[in-house]
Amino acid sequence: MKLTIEEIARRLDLNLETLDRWIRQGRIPVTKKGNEGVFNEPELKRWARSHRRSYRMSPRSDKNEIQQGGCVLTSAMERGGVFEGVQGGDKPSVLKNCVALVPDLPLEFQAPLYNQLLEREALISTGVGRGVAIPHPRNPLDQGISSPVVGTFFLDQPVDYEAIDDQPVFVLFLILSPTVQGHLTLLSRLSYCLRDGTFVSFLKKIPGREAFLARVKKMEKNIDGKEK
Amino acid sequence: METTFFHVFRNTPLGREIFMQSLYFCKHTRASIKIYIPEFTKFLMYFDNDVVQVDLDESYLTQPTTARSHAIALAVEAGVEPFFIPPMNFTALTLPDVSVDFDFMCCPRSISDFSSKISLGHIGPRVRRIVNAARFPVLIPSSQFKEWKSIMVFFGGSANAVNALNLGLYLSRITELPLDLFTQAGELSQAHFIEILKEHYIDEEVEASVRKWHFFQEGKFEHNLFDVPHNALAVLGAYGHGLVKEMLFGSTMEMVQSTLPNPLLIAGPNYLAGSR
Amino acid sequence: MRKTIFWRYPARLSFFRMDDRLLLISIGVIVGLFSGLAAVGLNRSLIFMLEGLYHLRHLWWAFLLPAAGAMASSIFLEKIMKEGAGHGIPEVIYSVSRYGGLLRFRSSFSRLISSSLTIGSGGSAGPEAPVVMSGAAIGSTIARFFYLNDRQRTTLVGCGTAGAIAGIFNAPLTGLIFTMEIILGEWSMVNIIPIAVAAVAGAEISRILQGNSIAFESSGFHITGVDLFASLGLAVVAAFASILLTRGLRRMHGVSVKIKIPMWVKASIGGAAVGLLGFFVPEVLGEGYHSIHDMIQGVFKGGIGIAALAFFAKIFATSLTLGWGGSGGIFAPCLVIGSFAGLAFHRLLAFGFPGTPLVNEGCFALLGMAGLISGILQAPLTGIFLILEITASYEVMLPLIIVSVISTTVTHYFEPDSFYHKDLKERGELLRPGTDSRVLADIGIREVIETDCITVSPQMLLREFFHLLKHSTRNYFPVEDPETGEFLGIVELGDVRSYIFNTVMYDTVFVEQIMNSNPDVVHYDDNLADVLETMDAKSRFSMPVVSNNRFVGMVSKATLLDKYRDELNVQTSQAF
Repeated sequence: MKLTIEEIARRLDLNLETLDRWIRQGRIPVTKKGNEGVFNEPELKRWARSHRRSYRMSPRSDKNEIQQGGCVLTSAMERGGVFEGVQGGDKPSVLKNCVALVPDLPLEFQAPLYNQLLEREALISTGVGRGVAIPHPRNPLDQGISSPVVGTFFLDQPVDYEAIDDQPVFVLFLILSPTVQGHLTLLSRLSYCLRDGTFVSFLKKIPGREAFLARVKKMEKNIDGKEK
Repeated sequence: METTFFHVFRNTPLGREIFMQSLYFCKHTRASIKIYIPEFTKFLMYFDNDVVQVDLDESYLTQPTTARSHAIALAVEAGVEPFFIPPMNFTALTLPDVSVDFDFMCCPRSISDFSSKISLGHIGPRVRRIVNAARFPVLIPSSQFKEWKSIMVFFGGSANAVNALNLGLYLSRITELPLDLFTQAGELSQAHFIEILKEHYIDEEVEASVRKWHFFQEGKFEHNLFDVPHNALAVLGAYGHGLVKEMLFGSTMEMVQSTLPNPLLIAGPNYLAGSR
Repeated sequence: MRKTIFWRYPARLSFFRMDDRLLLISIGVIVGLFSGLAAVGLNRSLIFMLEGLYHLRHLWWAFLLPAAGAMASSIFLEKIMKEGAGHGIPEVIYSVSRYGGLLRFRSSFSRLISSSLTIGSGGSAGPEAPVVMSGAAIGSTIARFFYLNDRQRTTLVGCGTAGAIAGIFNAPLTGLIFTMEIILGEWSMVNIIPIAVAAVAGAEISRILQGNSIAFESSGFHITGVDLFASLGLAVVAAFASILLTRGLRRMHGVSVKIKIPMWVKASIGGAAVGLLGFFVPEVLGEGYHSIHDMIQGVFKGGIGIAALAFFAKIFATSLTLGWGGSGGIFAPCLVIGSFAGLAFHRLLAFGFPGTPLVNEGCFALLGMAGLISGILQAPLTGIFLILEITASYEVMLPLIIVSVISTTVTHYFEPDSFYHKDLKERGELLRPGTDSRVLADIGIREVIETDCITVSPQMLLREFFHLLKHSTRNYFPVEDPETGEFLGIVELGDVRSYIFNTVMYDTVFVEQIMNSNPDVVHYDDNLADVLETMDAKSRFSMPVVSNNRFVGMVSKATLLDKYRDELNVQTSQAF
C-alpha cells in the first residue's frame, strides 16, 4: 500500500519527524519512495499493536465530543421535552414520574436511573432555591442515552424538596449526559440562566414549550456572544 | 517553523563575497543563518545514506580571532541576525561532525580548491556528493556579490525539475520577486510540459506566478542561456536523468554553472519541496 | 524521469520489508568474504615486508626502517587519503551508535596500506584494528550501495568487523563475540545470525587462501590446583599490565600532542626510537607473533630479567609507535605484552617457590595474553574465546576464565572504560543502544514540541486574561509583542492562581506585571538531555521553545515521557 508520509503519520498518531526518522533508521516496516511510504497494511497494523499504538483509518471522531458553544442547552432541552402538570405529592414520586416521561429512554433503564437520582438526592438536595431543582444521576449514564438531554418538568403541585432555601419546588430540570464534561457544560449554562431573576419569574408563569425554548435560546446566544 | 541556512565562513575577502550572498539570500527568504567558523580543516556531514568528508583549504582557518567579529559585522550590515554553531560532536579529535538539519546550505563551487578556482570552474566532486545526498537545496554562489532581482527556474520536465519549480514558486512567494521559467525543449512541445505541470497540480499556480516562460525549441543551450538576466538567481534540479546518463552525456547542472556567472540554487534528488 | 534501478533497492521488495533476515544473511556473507579478503591481504603484505626487510635488520642504520615506515604511513594517511587518523575502532563505534554505521569509503583500504607500512617496517602495532576498520567500512559501503536503512547497515558493519577478526585470527567465534561485545554493544537475536555467517565466511576465505592453521599451537597443558591458585596472581599482574599500557599510551600521546612539528616528522621520530629499542630488544619490533610462538612452546631464551625487560620495552615501543602517529592496533601488542607478563610471572614463581608443580610456562604466557586483552578492552568474553581459538587449548579453560574475569574486574577499578571507549566516553559520545542517553539523543526537539498555546499581549488586563482561561487547555501563556511578535516572557498559571478571586486586581494589573520576562528557553538545536537537565535543576516541568526570538511552542516533561517510552520501545524491540 502506498500513502503519503503525512497520511501514515496521521493514521498512527505520530509526529511527522518521528515517523521520518524511524523509517530512516529501519524501526518501522515502511520504506520511503519520494514523498510516499510503501508498506504492507496487515504488517503495519501488527507492528502498531506490538508497539502499543493505534492504527486509525478515519479521522478521529470522538462520539462524545461536545460541541463547544452553539446552543447546547437549547438542543438538550429540545431533546428532553417540556412537560406540564407532572403529578406527585413528594420528591420520590415526582422523580419517578419524571423518569417515566423522559423520551426515548428504554424501559429497563428507568429503574436504575431512578435509583441514581435518589442516591444523588441523598448526598445533598438538588433544589437550588426559588422553587427550581436540577436532579441528575450520581454518575454519568453510560447506557440508555446517546446525547445529552435536559428534561423540563413543570409540577402540578409544588413539592417539598428539602431545597436550600426550604421553598417548595415547582419546576425540575432533569440533566442526563453520557459524559461528565457534557453534564458540567449543561449545568454551567443552566445555572447561568437561573441566576437571572426575570427568568425564574418567567418560569413561574409556566410558559408553553415554544415560548420557553425561545427564551432559553435567546439567553444562550447571549452567553455564546460573550464567550467569543 | 523557521528556515535555516548553513554557511561555512571563510575569513578572507573572497569569503566575504560568498558570505554576503548567503546573507542576501537569508534576508529575502526570511531564513535565519547558522554560521560555522571552522577550527579544523575537515568536517563530516552524515546524511541519510552517505557520509561526506569536507576538506577545506587552509584559508578557511585564517585569523580565527577576527573571524567571528568580521562575520557579525557583515551580518549586522546586511540586517540578518547571526547565529554561530560550534561543532558539537566529534568523530575523531580533529574531525567534527556538522548537523545536516538545515533547509539550505551554501557551497562554493569547489570547497577544497584554491581561491582562484572559485570563479567559473567545475563543481568539485565533494559538492556534487553533498547535492546528491542532502535533503536541502544547495546554493552555489557566484564569485562576486550582486543582488539578484528575479528568479529563473530551469524546467526540464523531470521529477527533480518539478521539485526545483516548487522551490522556485516558494522563493518567489516569500521574496516577492518575479519568477521566470527556462526550458530547452528540443523537439517536445510546450503542451507536453504543461501536461507534466498538470500531473503535479501546479499548472494553475505556474500560470498565475510566472512572469515569462523562455521556451526554446531551437538553438544551442549555451547560446540560449544569454536570455537569463544577469541579476537572476538560477534554480535547477540536479541528477534528473540518472547518474550514469549524466556522466556520459553531461548534465544540465554542469552546463549551466560553467556558462552562467549567476548564483545557482540546486535541488538534489533527496529534496522534497514543502517537506518542511 | 529518474529511473529507479530496482535491484539496487532490495529492501523495498515487500518480501524483505517485514523480515529482512534472509537479505541480511546473504549480503552479510558477501561482506564477510570481502573483509576476510582484506585480512588476508594485510597479512600477506606484512609477511612480504617482513621477509623483504629481514636481511637489512643487522645493518647499523636499520633503526631508520621503522622511522621511514611510520613516516610514509603518516604522509599517506594525512596527505593522500586525508583521513584524519584516529585509532579507527572508536570511529566505528561512534558511527554505529549515532548514524547507523555510516563510514567513509576510503576507510575500506586506507588503513590497510598505512598499517602495513608502519608494522611491516618494524613498528610495534597490530594489524587487527586496521582490518576491523576496513571490514566495517566495507560493510558500510555495501549497505550504502543497496540503500539499506540504519538498522540494516549497522548489522552489515558488524558483519564486516566479524569477518575481519575471523579472517585475521582464523577465529570465527572470536569475530562474532568481539563484534557483539565491543562494536555493537548489544546482543540482539536479529544480528547474531548474519554476523555469525559473516564471521564464518571471513574465516573460511582465510583458510582457503592461507590454510587452516592454529596460530599458536602448543603441546597441551596439564592444569592442577596450584595453577588455579597461581592464576589469581597472574590476573592481578595482567591487570597491572593493562593499566600500565593504557596509561603509557595516553601519556605518550599527550606528550606528542604538545610538540608542534608536522605529523610525519613526529611519526618518524617515534619510529626511530622504536628502531633503536629494537636493536637491544628485538622482540619489540613488528607484530611480535614470533616471540609468542616461542613462549608458548616454552623455548623462550633468557631469564626473568630478560622477560621483564621485554615486557616493559614492548609497552614503551607500542606507546611510541601509536602515540606518535603510527598506524595500527593494540591487539597484537597486547598479546605479546601479555605473554611476556605471564612468562615473567611464571619464572618469578618458579624462582621464588622452587619445587611447586607449576604447569609449563607456555601456559602462563597464554593466560597472560587473555588477561591483558580482557583487562584493556574490558571484554572478558572476547579474551577467553580469542585465546581458545588461537591456541586450541581447551584444557586451560578454567584458569582462562579466572584470569580473564579477574583481570577485567581489577582493571575496572583503575580504568573503568575500555580502551576503545575512553575517548568517546570523555566526549560524551558513547551511546549504547537502549540506554537513556541513546534514546534522548535520537529524539529531536521538533518531535516533542507542543503548539497549542494561546498567546497574550503584555498590555492585556488581568480580567481579560482570566476570561481567556476558559478556552485554554494549558497552564503556560507566552507573551508576545503585539507589533513585532517578539517573545517577551511567559505567564505561568501557578503564579497567578491566588489572584483569581481577587476581583480588585482584575482591572488594575497588566499581564506584563505578572509574567516571567526572563525564562529559561529551549532552542531547536538544543540537546534534549541538556534540556532535561535544566528542567531538573530548576524544577520546571515545561519550557518554552524560542526560535529567532519568536515563540514556537512548549516542551513538557509529560509529553516527553510518552515519546521516551515509544522511542525506548522501538529501539529495544528485537525485530519489527
